[in-house]
Amino acid sequence: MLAQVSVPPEYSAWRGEQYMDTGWFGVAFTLGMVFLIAFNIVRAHRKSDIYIRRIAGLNAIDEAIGRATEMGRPIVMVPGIGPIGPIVFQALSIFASVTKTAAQFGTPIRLYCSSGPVLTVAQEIIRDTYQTQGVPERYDPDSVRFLSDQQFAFAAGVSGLMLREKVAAAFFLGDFFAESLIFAETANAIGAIQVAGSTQATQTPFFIAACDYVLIGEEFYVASAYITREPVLLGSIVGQDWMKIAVSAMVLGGSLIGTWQIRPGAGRDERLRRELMRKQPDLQGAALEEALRAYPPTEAIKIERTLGPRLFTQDRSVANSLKIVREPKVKPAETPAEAGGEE
Amino acid sequence: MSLFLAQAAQSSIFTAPAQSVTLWMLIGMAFLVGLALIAGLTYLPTNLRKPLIIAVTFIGGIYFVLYWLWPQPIQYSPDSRPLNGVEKVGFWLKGSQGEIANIVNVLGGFLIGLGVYSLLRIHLSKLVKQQKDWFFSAVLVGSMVLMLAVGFMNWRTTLQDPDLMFSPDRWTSVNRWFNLLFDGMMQQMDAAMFSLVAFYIMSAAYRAFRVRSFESTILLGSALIVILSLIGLVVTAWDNAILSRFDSQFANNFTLTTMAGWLKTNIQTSGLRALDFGLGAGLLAVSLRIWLSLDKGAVGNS
Repeated sequence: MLAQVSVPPEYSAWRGEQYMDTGWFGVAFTLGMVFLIAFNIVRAHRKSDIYIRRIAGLNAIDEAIGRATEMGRPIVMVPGIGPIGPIVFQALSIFASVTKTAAQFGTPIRLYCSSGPVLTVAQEIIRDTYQTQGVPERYDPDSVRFLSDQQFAFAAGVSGLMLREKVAAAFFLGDFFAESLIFAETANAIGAIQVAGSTQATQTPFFIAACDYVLIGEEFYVASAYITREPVLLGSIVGQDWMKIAVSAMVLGGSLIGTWQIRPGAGRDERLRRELMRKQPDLQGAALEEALRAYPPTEAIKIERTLGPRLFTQDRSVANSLKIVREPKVKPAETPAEAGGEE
Repeated sequence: MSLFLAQAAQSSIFTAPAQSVTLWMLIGMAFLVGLALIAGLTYLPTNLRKPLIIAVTFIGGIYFVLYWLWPQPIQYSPDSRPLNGVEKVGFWLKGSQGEIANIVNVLGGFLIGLGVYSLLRIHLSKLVKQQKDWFFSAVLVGSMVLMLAVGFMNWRTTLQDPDLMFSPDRWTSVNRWFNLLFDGMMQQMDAAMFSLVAFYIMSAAYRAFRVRSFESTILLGSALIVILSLIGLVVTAWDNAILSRFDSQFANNFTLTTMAGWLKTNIQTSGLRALDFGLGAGLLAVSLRIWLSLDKGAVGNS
């Protein structure tokens, strides 16, 4: 009979520490990443000549604003349809840079929001930008608008306004979903220059297919550092790069270790079988299988190693169903076959 | 037990009887206080508003950082009792989650109100002044008022009978109007907008899949393989032709199914994961900058 794991009484149901359940490594790794960013921000304050490679989509911003100014048509900006959060803030900080240049030339802007909180923050940022440029009178409160929080109602609203106002440049930066192509194709239909970037990796191909310039992946987060050259932003970009190097090294290391682990004959069951056969050459066929069955299944061992002594109430049923044991009850020397032989 | 839960157990506006005058009065008062707060914050000078925003951002951020990193009970009930300081904080974080969510929802409600106000201000002014495209503004305002009125009356009827919307034979005229406006019009218009994507994909693909450079040729070739691999007739014809002509395992590598599978598994998936890693790193850095107000801007320290 296989023994069941007894849960020590001191591990009551509440003790489900997250980092103990999922592994402390995740939390430690995240904190390590935070340290890398913080360290590089401090470093960037001392070292100002940090290089960021050329990003075509960001170089195109001035071109787009210039075109809109020449044509006397508005610039449209959409910070995605996601809720307020870091992505929206990042998009708005890029839009603030666009607005800064537009304010200098008196180019009209339109910023369309799909949620109340985004509208409030966007109004604040755009108004501040006009003020810092010394042209508060050029700020039009109607230039930052809320349209709808419904995905396709918002898409219809933005498309309609772009068509009616015949915008010259369009910036789509943020969290976009199925409406991305509607925006991009409408802007293309009216001949607007488009700069886009989505944090949704699945939408990036649509933007690449339909837009003039696209910020791919983390280029979206690099944008504000690239434009403003602020030490804090530059430092965090270097921190991100260090993070990516660390993650890449882990992926590579994990791949090598994983490959080594699954090499032919490296499995636990195979090793156990070889060991048994070496120690007891007499064991063969059904007797060998019976002896092997006395050991806990590999999956159970894995789960036990993961949870260890921290088996919680809701895990007990899993543990019980897998018949987790701490030690094999029948040692190789006491296999049923051998016991039977002695009889 | 968390502080919030301890408060909730006592008599408060949350325990006032439903539909009672007291409850409506308290809700009205809370609404007015909220409006006064928003108005106060709006007219507060920027130099005073900034420190307030920085403080609230930091306090809000620290709650969520602790929520994810601090050890927490996995089987929590309001009757559970903490044993030490670590557990006390863990219990407080877990117990206050609902209250924090309520605060966020209330704030969101007020901000939606601001959004609606902005929308109405723009469109009513357009209507009154009979500016260009005023007709669209009239449609928008009319639709909004109608949907709000019918939606509210419909909600009142479903309060007493939650299953009413599933029994059309018991519908009143209000329910029919709501059904017409929501299912009959809004949902259909949503679907119509979504269906436009199919046509836009075609026009975008036509422009993108042109042989202009080495990269675009690779894009065209890969896209062609994946597109063809989804057409059953082509797959059958191609794969059968390959396998019947070349009698070797190696030929299997050139079937459409295998090539498309390889592209999707080895090229597309790894590319998307690389993008996700970069985005994750960027998100962490931006979040940290916002939380600590290191960015210049509306939430920054400029």
